[in-house]
Amino acid sequence: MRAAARAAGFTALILIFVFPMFFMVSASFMSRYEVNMTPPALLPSEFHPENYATAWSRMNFVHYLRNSLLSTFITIAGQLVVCVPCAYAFAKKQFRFKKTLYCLVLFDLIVPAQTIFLQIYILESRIGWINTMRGLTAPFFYSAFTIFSLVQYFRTIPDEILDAARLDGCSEIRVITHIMAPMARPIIITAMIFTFVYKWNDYFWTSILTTDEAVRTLPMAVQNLMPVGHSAREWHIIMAGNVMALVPMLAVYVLANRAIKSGLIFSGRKDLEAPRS
Amino acid sequence: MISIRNLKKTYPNGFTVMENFNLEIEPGSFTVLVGPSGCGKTTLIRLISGLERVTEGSIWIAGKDVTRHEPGDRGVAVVFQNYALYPHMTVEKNISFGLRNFGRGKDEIKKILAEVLEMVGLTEHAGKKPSALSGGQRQRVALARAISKSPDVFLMDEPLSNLDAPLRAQMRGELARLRQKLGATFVYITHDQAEAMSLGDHIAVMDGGRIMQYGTPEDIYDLPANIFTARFIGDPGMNILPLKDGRYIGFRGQKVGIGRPAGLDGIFIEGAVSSRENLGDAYRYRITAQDGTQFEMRHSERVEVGRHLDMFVKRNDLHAFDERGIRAEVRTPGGAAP
Amino acid sequence: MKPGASARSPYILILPAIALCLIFSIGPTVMSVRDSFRSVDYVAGTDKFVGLANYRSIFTDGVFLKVFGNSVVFMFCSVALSVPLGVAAALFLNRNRFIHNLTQSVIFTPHIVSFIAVATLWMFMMDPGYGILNYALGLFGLPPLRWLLDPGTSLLSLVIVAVWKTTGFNTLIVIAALQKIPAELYESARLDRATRAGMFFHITLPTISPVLVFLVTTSAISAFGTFDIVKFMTEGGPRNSSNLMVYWIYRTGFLHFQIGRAMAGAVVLILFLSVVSAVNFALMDRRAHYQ
Repeated sequence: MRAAARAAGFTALILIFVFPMFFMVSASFMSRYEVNMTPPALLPSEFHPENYATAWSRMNFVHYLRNSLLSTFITIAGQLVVCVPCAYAFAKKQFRFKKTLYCLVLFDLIVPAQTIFLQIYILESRIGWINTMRGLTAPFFYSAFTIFSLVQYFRTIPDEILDAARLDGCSEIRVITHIMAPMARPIIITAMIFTFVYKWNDYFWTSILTTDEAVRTLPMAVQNLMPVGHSAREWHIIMAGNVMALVPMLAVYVLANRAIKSGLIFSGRKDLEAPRS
Repeated sequence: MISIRNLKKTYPNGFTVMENFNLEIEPGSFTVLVGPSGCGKTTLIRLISGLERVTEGSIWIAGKDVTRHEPGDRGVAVVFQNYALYPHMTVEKNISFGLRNFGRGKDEIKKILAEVLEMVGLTEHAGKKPSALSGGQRQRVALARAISKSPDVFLMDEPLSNLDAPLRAQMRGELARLRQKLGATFVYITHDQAEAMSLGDHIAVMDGGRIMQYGTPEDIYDLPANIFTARFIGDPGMNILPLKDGRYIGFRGQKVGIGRPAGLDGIFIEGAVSSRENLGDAYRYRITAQDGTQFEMRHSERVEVGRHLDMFVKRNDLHAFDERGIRAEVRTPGGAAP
Repeated sequence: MKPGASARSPYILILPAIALCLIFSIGPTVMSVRDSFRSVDYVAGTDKFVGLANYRSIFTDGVFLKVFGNSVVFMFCSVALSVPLGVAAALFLNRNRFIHNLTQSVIFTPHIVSFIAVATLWMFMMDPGYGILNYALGLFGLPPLRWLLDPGTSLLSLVIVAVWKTTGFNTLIVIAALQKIPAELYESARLDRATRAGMFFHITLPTISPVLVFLVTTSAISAFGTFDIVKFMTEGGPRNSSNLMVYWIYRTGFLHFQIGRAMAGAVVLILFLSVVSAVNFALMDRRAHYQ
């Protein structure tokens, strides 16, 4: 009985979460006729890998891939430079107005940037940052979510280890790069994966802060596959575009899967506990 | 070696831990700072090492004013209670990390590494990470890391308190040997008075950010300068009984005799046994005197709980303290307890 | 390092983040509040104080209230579905066998797929004519729906898409929390003859409740930030039935250049989110002793 319930649960989970993904891949190999068939086909009767070639050239895939990679990695690098030292200071340093400043930094957790995008747009157009890579990345060097997650983890690192590093002649920067960052590796990787996901998939900010295809990213390329209005949509091509945009993301996810899980389970660090023996 | 002059430390939240604090530590000495938690002993070590900034006053090490020096530039090494090893580095890296920061040459580092690992007996564990080591081994790595810098001063903050009892005794012996070998100055924190007595050639008893007494272990045990020291040092601490004139009299539980010997130069006490603990070689008794005051007695003789006893303490074993709790002359034999 | 440098250094370390936060977060928020009391026209170059006129305008215009209501419904439905579903899936998958680990990873994948891919995929599946969802309804003998094209189901359709995308993330977070519960707790509960349900309500739920509060708060806030699927799948229609706040701000301010009115709407949203967060953080504080 329990086994049956478990099997039913698995089937439901897989049907709900896996099937649409499977269907996306399946449809990307179908013919134009098959994707619009009733009743719908679950599997392509014959493979049409040329859908990918079509999507590739119609999307101008390489151009947008380059922009996606560029904007994502610039954002990650920026966050490492901006957020890691900031989180270190809030987790481990004592200074005046610390609480107030921390509340300020976490403001974004309460009011997501989407609600104030119009002002950000106005600001960027004033300083001429619209349609530039810096305009698309610099605002995201600061992330309340990243800082918050890092602070939570940094706090669990014993002060004595940092004291020992200072006695070993480390400057603050060296404490961060040689002690804090390596010790907090799982959480830093996890936070950067989330940044990767956010930036790689971002459509909203790209559509607000850019009008020029020269700096636009992959989600915009997928959008460009959609014809305006309700004319016949070539779902097989669109699905191929989706799969292509997903592949780099998926590769990163598979590579970092273990790190994500251990990063989320903070208490996984046995080596920080001093055994009584 | 270390000279602390008119030191004041106030934390950003406005709490002043110590004020007008002075201490001279001789070169080559082993000074133990002992006191209850919150007495300021850890703060003192952090100030000496530069991990905390001094509010007022100055700190001199080896004849130099180091008050404004960075922690790495003071010629001190610190061993922490929880070892503070870098968990992501091997034993070898843990030790060489600081040496590299100080710009030592590759060959020199290699030589130092071999030397200190040999000294603490961890040569074959050089490539392991701290998580693969036992508590005792980790403590040795921490020691090796401190030794590798050949500092003028070793500062140790309860380095043995995370170890279990037999290992602690063994490490105490190793520390004593190490000290002979290195000839450096040691400042050692503990809250355990027995450890203080056994390790230190000087002890500073601290409370509330002040030094209550500074002297040799013998001085501190035999001639406590005040009630705090008397109570804190010794196992058990000294019994302190109030006198009618506002002064105090003190004696150690081991010095209480049973009976009423004639012609005694000392005091007699009557009381009842309210509890008994077997310590193996003796019994620990809780005694309630006739006037209701309580004190502790150690005696090799077994006495039943509830029995009334005549007890005595010889005059030579008595300590007197004035109204402020400061050591005074023993004046009135026999006038102690009713 | 020079003397005194380490006293200043905390400020140096946080300076870049604080600066960016002021420029791109606090500043724009303050400007939003300011502009909500003004009539700004960047084309004509006029900018004058109009008091509460913008607020009066949006609250008397039926569209804003409807959109705000939609957003609240959307938030409630998506949180009420995605968090409990995440907990259920987590309880189910919190085992260390290969198949469980694999399923954990697989149900997380919607989180890493872009909203655009999700939107196109579900538009494809929700097509009233040849869509696979209507086909599936037909298999159960149910009548086909017009999904995104029907004012009665358009908002619900967006909820389904949002829940599908976020549940896997919630599952992963809850699993992480579950794995931190010490096994001794369950063992001692078993010795006390606790039932499975008893263990869930007296051990599991209280222990993971801080995480649940965190999830509810962040899901609620991000539900209010929803834009991509609205713009892409329905453009708020039909007849504003699936229009949500950020899309409304986008249309009003970005497409129709009614900056003042858009900002008044944004300020209402910011105030509302502040209240939601305050309530949740207060709850989180009360629950904090469980950790």
